[in-house]
Amino acid sequence: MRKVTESLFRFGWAMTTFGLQQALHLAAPRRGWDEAERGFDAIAAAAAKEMDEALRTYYRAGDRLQAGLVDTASRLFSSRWSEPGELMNETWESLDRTRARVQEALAEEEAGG
Amino acid sequence: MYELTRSLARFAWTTSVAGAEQLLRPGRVAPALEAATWASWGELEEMLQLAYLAGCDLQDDGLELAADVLRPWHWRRAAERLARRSLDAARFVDPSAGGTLARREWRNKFDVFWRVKGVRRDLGHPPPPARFDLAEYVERAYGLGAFPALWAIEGLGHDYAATLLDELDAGGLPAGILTDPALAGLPASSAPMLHGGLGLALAERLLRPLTPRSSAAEFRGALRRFVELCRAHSRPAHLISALESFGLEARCFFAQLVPGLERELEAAAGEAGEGRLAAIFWHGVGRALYFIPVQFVPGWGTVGNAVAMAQREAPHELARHNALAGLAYAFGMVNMSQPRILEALLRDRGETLRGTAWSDGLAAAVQVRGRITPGAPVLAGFLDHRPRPDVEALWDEMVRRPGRRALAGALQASTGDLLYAVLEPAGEAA
Repeated sequence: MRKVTESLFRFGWAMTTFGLQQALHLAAPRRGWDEAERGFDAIAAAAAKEMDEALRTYYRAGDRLQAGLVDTASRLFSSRWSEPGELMNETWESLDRTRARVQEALAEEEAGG
Repeated sequence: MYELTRSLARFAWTTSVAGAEQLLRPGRVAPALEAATWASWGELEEMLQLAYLAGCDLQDDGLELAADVLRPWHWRRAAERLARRSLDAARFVDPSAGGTLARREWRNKFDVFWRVKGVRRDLGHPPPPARFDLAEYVERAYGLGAFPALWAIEGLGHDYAATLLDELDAGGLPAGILTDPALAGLPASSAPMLHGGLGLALAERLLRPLTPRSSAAEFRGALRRFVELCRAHSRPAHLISALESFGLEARCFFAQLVPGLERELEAAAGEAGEGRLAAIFWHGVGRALYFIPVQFVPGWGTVGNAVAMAQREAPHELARHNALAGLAYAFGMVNMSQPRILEALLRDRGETLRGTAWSDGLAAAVQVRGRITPGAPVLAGFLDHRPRPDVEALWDEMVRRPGRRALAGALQASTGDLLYAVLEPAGEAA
């Protein structure tokens, strides 16, 4: 139990210091943003590598769902709002692609397992 | 912007899943959470890394205290610890002579730490990949004064070796880093600190790819490779100075790797043909305990805390002996010009330190200073210091007599490992 508590405290403190650094990076556009992005990705990759198999399936599916949602939101912001029909179509297409990606992730894991 | 949002979202999701994994594994550390912690540390800038490391040691200390408070049979220990912390903190702000000495000791180790870490700022040598003329910058380091030069040379050894290790990785070196015949003209007195710096650079390079979850074979491989590289790039007379830096670097900046390294020390020492590796490693760990970032927290970073950490972290007698000797060695080297700091320590904790490896570490510091700053008045001032009568007997027993013996040994020896004495039980080395 002691080890777990220590680990949780370390994690909390690591996130605090890392968060502080990322905030400083984000305050400096361009290069700072690249650095911040690299930092986020490095931690995500290191943690994902250590997840156990069952959890990794769930993780990958969630990751793809999230990527799709970010993608959809990004398209929405850059769409032509004057043409609502096209906007709806793009949104549905994007969500459909997201669903397909999530399904792919689950199928890959099933095939792998 | 899109990519950054994507990375941020993935990061948030990853840490959430890692947290969930921990909840699913009560009683065991979740590997993903540990990996995220370790990777975060690796991503931090130097100052934040130091803050993170200091925070970790403070947290561990707090948790230990909390664990004692929760167990009634440990209440006495908890109360003693709290009283000691309060006393240390109060002493640090005490305007009288006792407080002045505490603050001076704190400032001394702070100066030394940054002298090594920030040597480029002081000497202005070019950053990697540019190679620089080591002899020229060693000469410049001596221009800083005898005492600052010691630490600047250690930092210089680190930076020089780090640059050459990049070249080694890229395609090899025509000669060993410090065995290069072109360096034959370097002052002999600079060699121990340069080798210490070489060891730091090698250790840094070999420890960085490891994580607390690395396999036993990876830990053993790093240790064995370290010994091989030290042998290849050190002058034989100063091999121990280089080897000792492994424990220093590990405990100072990669504390979570120390248990993994400790488990493999014996096997790695056998494979590398270096039977004294465990003792040397723990001597380095002890030295690190004087310079770890938490030691720079005013009022917390005291020698007393470092002694407690050495006793708590060392898993067996050999480790304890050498860690304490290493700590005393660092303390002695840093504060030798102000013997009243040691006098205050002996008054406070002399009886606890009596009969331990503390005297060995101090003697080694005298011995090394005798070799690298021969004839410096600081040695006579230290050994001949007349403390107050209540500490006189302890000073004579723990400082003056072992120091004089060590100094005589250093002056007689033409070569050999100066730190060797502290790796042996008290009295046997002399």
